[in-house]
Amino acid sequence: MFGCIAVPRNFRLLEELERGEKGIGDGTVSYGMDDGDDIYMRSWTGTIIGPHNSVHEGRIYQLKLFCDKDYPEKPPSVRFHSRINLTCVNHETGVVEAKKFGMLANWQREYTMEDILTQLKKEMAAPYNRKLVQLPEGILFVEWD
Amino acid sequence: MANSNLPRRIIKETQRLLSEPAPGISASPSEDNMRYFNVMILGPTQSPYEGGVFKLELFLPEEYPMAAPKVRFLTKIYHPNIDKLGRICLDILKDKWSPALQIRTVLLSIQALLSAPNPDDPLSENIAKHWKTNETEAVETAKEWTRLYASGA
Amino acid sequence: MESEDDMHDANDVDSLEDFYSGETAMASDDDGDGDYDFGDNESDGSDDITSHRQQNYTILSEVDILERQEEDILRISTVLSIPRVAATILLRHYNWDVSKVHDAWFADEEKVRQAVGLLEKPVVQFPKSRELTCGICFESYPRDKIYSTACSHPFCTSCWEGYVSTAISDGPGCLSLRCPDPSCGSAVGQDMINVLASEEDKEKYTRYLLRSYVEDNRKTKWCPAPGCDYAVDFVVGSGIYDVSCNCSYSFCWNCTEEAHRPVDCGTVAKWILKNSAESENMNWILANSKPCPKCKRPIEKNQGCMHITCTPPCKYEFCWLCLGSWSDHGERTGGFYACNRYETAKQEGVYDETEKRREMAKNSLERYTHYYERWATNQSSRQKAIADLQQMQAVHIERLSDKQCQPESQLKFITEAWLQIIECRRVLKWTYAYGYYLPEYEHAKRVFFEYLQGEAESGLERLHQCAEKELQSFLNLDGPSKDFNEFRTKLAGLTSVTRNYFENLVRALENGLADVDAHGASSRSSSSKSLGGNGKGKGGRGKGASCRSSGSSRNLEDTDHWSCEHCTFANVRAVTTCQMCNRHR
Repeated sequence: MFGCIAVPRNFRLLEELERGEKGIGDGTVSYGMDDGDDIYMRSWTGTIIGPHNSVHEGRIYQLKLFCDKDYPEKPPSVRFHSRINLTCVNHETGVVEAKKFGMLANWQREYTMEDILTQLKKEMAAPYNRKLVQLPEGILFVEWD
Repeated sequence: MANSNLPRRIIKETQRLLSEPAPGISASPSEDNMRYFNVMILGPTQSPYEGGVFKLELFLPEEYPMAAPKVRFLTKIYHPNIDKLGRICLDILKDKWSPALQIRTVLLSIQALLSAPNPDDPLSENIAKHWKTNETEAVETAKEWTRLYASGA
Repeated sequence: MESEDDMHDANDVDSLEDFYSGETAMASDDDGDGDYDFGDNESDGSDDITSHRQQNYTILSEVDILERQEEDILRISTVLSIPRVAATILLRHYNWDVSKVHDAWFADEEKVRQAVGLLEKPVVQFPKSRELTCGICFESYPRDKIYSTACSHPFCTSCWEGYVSTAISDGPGCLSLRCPDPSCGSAVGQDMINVLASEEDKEKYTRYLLRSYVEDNRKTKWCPAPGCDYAVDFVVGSGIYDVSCNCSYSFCWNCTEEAHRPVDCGTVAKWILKNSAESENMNWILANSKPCPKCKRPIEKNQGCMHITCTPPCKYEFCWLCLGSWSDHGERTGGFYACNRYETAKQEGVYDETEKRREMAKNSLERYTHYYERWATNQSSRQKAIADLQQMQAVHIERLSDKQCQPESQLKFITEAWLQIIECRRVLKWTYAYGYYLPEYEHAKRVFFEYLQGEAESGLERLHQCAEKELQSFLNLDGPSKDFNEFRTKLAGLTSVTRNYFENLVRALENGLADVDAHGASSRSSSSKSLGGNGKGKGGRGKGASCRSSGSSRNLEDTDHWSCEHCTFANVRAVTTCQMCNRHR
C-alpha cells in the first residue's frame, strides 16, 4: 500500500457514525449506533426503505450490523430484523449470507456500512428479487440469540 | 504495514515524544501503524481527575500536519467537553488547528482541559448542565468516575 | 369607433375617479409625476412604480466592483501610508467600511495592528546560521527556501504551500489567514498568496476577495437571480427597497425575495410560507386548462390577459379567474370590476353548528384558494408578458417597422406598453397577498382596497388585451394600415391610464390605506379627496392644488352626492346602489 493510509478501526467507525448522524443522500438508507455507551461501537441498526418498482416499495426494513474487533479488515455480520424474502437472506434467521451476497464475500476495507445497505437496497430491486412474495409488513425474524 | 514513506516530521515528533516525554503524558506509536498512537494522560493534580490514568487513542490522518490529529478518550470520564464515546471538544482539534502545532501540544492542551473544564462550550449537555447548576456535586461525580474507571487497574 | 369607445370608457372612469380622488389622472398627461407634489420627501423616491427618478441604488458589474474595491484600497493605502496589501487586510477586517477603518486606525493604531495582525517588526530573529529549520516539517533549508510573514517565523516553501492550499480549499476564511505559529497572529496577505498558491487557488482567492467586497459590505448584495453576476449597491435609509437589476430581475433589497412593492416584506414572507404549506392543495390550481363554462370543452390559457374566448363555434367570452361572462366585467355594464373580490357564503344562519364549522373550514380554504389563484395567475401572466416582450423586441418590432413604414423609434410605445404590463402584473400579484392578510373586520379598508385593486386590474386587462390581441392583427398584415395611428393612440393611452391606476393602488397600500381611517373618523364632514387622495400622507399631495380638479374640499352634504353609510363612499346622486360596496342606499 503506497501512500494509502489505513484509518484504524475506531476512528473509521467514528467517521461512519458522523456520516450517519448527518444523514445520507435521499434518506432511503440510514443507520445508527445501538448503544451510545459502547466505546467500541460494535452494534448498529440499519434501515432500508424498499425501492420503487419492487414488492418492497415503501416498506421499512430494519437490520442489525455487528462490527467486531477486526472491522473493517473483515466485514460486519449483517442480519435482517424485519422479515424479508430475498435470495441472499436466510429464511430462518434473517442473516445475510456472504456466499450469496458479493459485497460480503469479496469484502474490502474501504467498504462501509452505508455501502452494504445501499447494495442491499439494489438487491431488493434486482429482477430475481423484486417480485418475490413477501409476508405482510411488520413481522420480525425470530431472535435466536 | 508500510511505514517507509512516513514523513520526517512524524518520525521526529515520535522520537521526541519517546525521548523527552511531557510530564504526565506518554504516547507511543502502535507497532503495525506508525500513525496510530496509544496515549496515557495522568489526571492533573488538584483536578477531580487527580490520581486517574486515562487511556486515549490518537491517529494522524493522511493530511497531517495540514489537518489536525484525531484523538479520543478510551477511559470513561465525567467531563463537560468529552462525550460518552470519548470524543473531545477542543478548538485546536477543529478550526483552530495549525500545522505548527504538534502531537505534544495537542496532548498538553487535553491535559489542560482536564484542569479547566469549560461548561459553556459543552459536548455533553447533561454534564455541562450539572457543572453549571451544582459544581460541587459534578466534581464529586467526576472524582467518583475517576476512581471507578481510571484507577489504573 | 371601438378604440375611441374604449378611450371614452377609460376617461369616464377617470373623471369619476378623478372626482372622488380630487385629482386629475389624465391619460394625456405625459409626465405622470407632474400630478403630484412630493414636497420634501423627494428622497423617498416613491414617485413612480416603474422607474426611479432618483435611483437609490447602483447596479455593479464585476468590473465595477473591482474598480470600487481598488479605489477603496488605494484610498486607505494613501491616507494611512501603508502598503496596498495591508490596506486590503484592514478593509476586509472592517467589512470594507472605509470610514470605520479611518476611525479605528486614528483612534488606536497599535490596537488595530494587533487585531488584524499587521506587525511592524519581527517577533523572532533569524539565527545567523545559513540554514533554518521549518516549523512544520522540521527539515532544514537554506534561507532562500524559507518564507515568513512580518513576524519571521520560518516555514519552508512546501509547508507554506500546503498551509495556503488547505486554507483556500476551506473557504473564504483564507482571506484572514495568519502565520501558522499558533501564538502568532501575523496576517498572511495577498502578496504571499500570489507567491505560494497554485494558479487555480490564486483565482479562488481573488474570487473570495471580490465576493467579500459584496457580501461583507453592509451596502451591497448580489442580485439573487440565478446565473446573474451583478451586485447592487444600495443607499440604506430610503424607504423603497425594490431594485431592478440589469439582468431585468427585480427584487427587494431588504429581504431579497422578488420585488413586492407595495406589500411589505413581512407579508411576503408569511405568504410564501403559506404557499409552501399549501402547495399540495394548490397544484391543481396551476393547471393551465379549464373547461369552458358554457360548452365544457377544455380551454387552454396560452395568453397573458384574463379575457378568454372559447374556440368556435362556442366563442363564449369569459373571465379566466371567475369563469363568469366577460360582459359582466368592467365598467361597460355600469358595474365595477369585481372579480378580485372574495365573497364569503351569503346564507348565514341557515346552518347548524357542525355544518357551520365545516363551512368555515371550507371557506378558509376557499378564501385562500381565491387569493392564491389570482396571485399565481398574475405571476404566470407576467412570465408570458416577459416572453412576449422579448419576442416583440427580437422579431416583431422590426417587421412592424417594415410593414407600417414607421421608424422603430416611433414604435417605442409598444415596448412601453409591455413594460407597463409586466410591472403591473407584478404589483397586482402582490396585492393579492396583501388582500389575503387584510383583516375581514376592516370593512371600510377592504372595500376601498378592493375598489382600487379592481380598477387597476380592469385597466390592466384592457391594456394587456390591446397589446396582445389588437397588435396581433397588425402583425398579420402585409402592408401599412391606416388604423395603425389609432392603435398607437389607444395603446399609449391605455398604458398611461393603467400606470395611473397602479400608482394610486401602490400609494394607497404603502400608507396602509390610512385615508380610510382619516375618512372614517370624520365621515360626515370630510372631503371626498381622502378616497383616492393622500391628504395627510407622507407625500403631502394636498399641496398640489394646481393639478386638482375643482375643489378638493367639496362638501359631502353637497346635494349632488350621497355618502354611503356602510363604506362612506361618496356616490353621485343618480345611483341608488353604492358604487363601492354595492349596498343599497
